[in-house]
Amino acid sequence: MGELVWYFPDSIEELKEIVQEEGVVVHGGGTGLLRGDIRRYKGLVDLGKLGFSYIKNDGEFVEIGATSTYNDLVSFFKEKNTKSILYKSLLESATTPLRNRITIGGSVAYFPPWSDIAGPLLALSSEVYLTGSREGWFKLTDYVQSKELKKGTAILKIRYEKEKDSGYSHHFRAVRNRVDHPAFTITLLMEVSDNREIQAATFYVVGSKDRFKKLTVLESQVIGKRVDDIHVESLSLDNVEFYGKVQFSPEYQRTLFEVEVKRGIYKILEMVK
Amino acid sequence: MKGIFKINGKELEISFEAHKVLLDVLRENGFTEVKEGCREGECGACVVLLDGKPVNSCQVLAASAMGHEITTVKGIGTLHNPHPIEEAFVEAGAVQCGFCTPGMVIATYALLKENKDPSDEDIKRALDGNLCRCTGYVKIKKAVKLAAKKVSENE
Repeated sequence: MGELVWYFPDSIEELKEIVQEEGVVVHGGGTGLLRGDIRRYKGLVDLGKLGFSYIKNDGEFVEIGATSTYNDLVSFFKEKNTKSILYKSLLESATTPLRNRITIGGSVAYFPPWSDIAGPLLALSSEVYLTGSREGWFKLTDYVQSKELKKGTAILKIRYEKEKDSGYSHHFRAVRNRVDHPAFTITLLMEVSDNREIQAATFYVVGSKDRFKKLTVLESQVIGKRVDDIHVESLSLDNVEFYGKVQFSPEYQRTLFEVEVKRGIYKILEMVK
Repeated sequence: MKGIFKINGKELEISFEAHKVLLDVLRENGFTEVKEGCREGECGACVVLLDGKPVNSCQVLAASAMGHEITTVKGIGTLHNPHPIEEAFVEAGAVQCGFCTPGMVIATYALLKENKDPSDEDIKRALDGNLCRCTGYVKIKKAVKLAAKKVSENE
């Protein structure tokens, strides 16, 4: 193992070149990287000088700079929109000192199954802006599943349509206590019209055997229905399987998933009513 | 590698290994008031302020903290000139073995900077990253309330 080299680029151009070097990875807040021995990397790139610690909310999109922390988002949404699914999920995530360090870019790049932000960003159909070997906006779902998009790139910003976070939402974390890593998370988003018809529903589970799964079977049973016509108990669920984890067995997670998805939908329907 | 660290208001040039975390760099350079507990970001014994915000120094790569303002508990008060928060912890009996206290004081300092009159829930949330295995949390909560009163009176 050679000596680890740190890079502190002052410009995107400089960053673009560095991230394409073999063995160089981007340092967000560092909490994910520290789960392994960082000496295995040739170099680390710190994005601190590039000005990507911001949240913009002034157009069609909410745009989040990659080095914004969980607590930056919590503070932002506390002022702007406490109904935001990101506010609900991140407020309960980790601890205060960790939320001051975990960055959005790092969470997306690392995408751990216990991440509290993964489900909400997937449900909001988020996009990531990459620089390096690829340049431009890419769908988050493509990014997290593509080795090619990750190789030689750095995430600079994340965005989603503001409109998508304006409906009803619910976030569940399968934890033993509040500061635990979730075994899995459930994110439910619903848009309901004035005549109480469910116009859109986006449901995700993160932390399953598939890493994440869109609950399309469940979504199809509620979209287009009137709120009063939905019988939560009779909804059929997608086939979701779990690996055994430190916290819970696969069977327990499956049972918890079944209970909590229906409880979440029930809670949203109650909010509408 | 070498870098300039701004610790407790003073600039120091420190040589350190590039993979080291801030906790180690601080302790190796005499800032032993920053305690080493779990090294996993769970216990809060190593909490310092980084640009005014509490962070687990065991979860911060030292190189990324170069040039940023770092405050340890000794940057808040001293033995002969304790901060009102430190006085409050003593007066409320919120210190037993004392190992978690520097982190608790730092977390309280950050809370009171933002919120002069925190509720029980605010205190619980602000100190959610600090574990105490001796006293339980009743006295600590009492100390934070007393600290809030003392800080307000001192202003």
